[in-house]
Amino acid sequence: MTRSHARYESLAGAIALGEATQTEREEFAQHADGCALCSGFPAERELLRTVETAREGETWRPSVDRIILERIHDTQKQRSRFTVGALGWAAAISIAVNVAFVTGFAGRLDGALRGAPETTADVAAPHFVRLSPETFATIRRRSLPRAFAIAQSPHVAKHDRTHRLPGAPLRVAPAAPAFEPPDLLAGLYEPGNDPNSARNVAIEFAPPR
Amino acid sequence: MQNVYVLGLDRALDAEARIERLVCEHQTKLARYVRRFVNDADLALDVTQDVFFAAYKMLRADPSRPLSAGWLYKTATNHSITYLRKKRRRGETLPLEDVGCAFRTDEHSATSLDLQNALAGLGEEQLACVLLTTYAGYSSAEAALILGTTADAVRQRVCRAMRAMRKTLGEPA
Repeated sequence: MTRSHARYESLAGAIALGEATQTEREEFAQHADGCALCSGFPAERELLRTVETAREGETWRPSVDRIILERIHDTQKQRSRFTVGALGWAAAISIAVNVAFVTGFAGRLDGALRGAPETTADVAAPHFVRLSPETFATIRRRSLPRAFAIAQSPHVAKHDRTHRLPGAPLRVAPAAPAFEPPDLLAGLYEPGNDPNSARNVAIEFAPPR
Repeated sequence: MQNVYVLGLDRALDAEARIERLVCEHQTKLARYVRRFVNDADLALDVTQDVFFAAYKMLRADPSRPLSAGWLYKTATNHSITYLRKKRRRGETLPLEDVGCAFRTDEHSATSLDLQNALAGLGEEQLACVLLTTYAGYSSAEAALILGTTADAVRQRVCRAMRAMRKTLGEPA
């Protein structure tokens, strides 16, 4: 089909729909005289009229308004239910969050969720060296005589005299309790041997004072 | 033209009132148009409902939007074309004796059934052009706007549809 014939088809359609001008009608009539394809146009146009008259003869009167309005109301109910539900959930969550912050639960929960320690003791715990009772006893046994010795030293007495507040009594260091230093060489003693042999060996190898 | 007036100018009406008005004014014409298109009365009712519900959703989203009857026909045409294409893809064909089954007994006549048979033989685009221009009463320019094409294309399709229908009606049943 040529491009020019497509134009005549357009003209035929315009004439059938009643939209063509007189010039267009004459142009198409001249073409239709010599065109086998367009020669049946009058019958085709009548066919189109049949479609128009078929519309007039229809008696079917459907009614969908009730169904559509019911559907719309259902949608509105569904939306309102959803809105009320969403508002309820939002209020409940808001109250729960507020209560959690007021009671401090949220802070602990936050710490627990982050894996952070809760208290100062937990913070210090990894750095704390746990001492056994024997170690404590050793520290006390060695530190106390030294502390008393320092308190009785002339430097401390001089410091006390120079830095004493006016009217304050002169502090006198308490006397050191009777304390026998541990016999370190006793550790060298082995059961079954002469107790003095280990001592003698230690004295022999001790550096001169 | 009566079919192209705009229903969105009355801002006082809400979406529900406007859709009620649309339904009352256009339901019969639109359902008959879709029935001619798909040749199935029940499906025509379903499509008509869907079209009005889509209009309601659109008006609810934007209450100030003007809505013309052309939009209803455009949506109905698209729905019908989709249905016909699905039907064709599935390979469903309507027996000749069932061509008029979608129509009421008082609408049955040899001419009407022959006409429906001829319309059923058209392609979707030609059928849309013929029904929009001759059945719904739109001009070729308005039908072109509805279908998203040019007025010349609509006229050509009408001409080719007329030729195809004459060929169908000329064949012995």
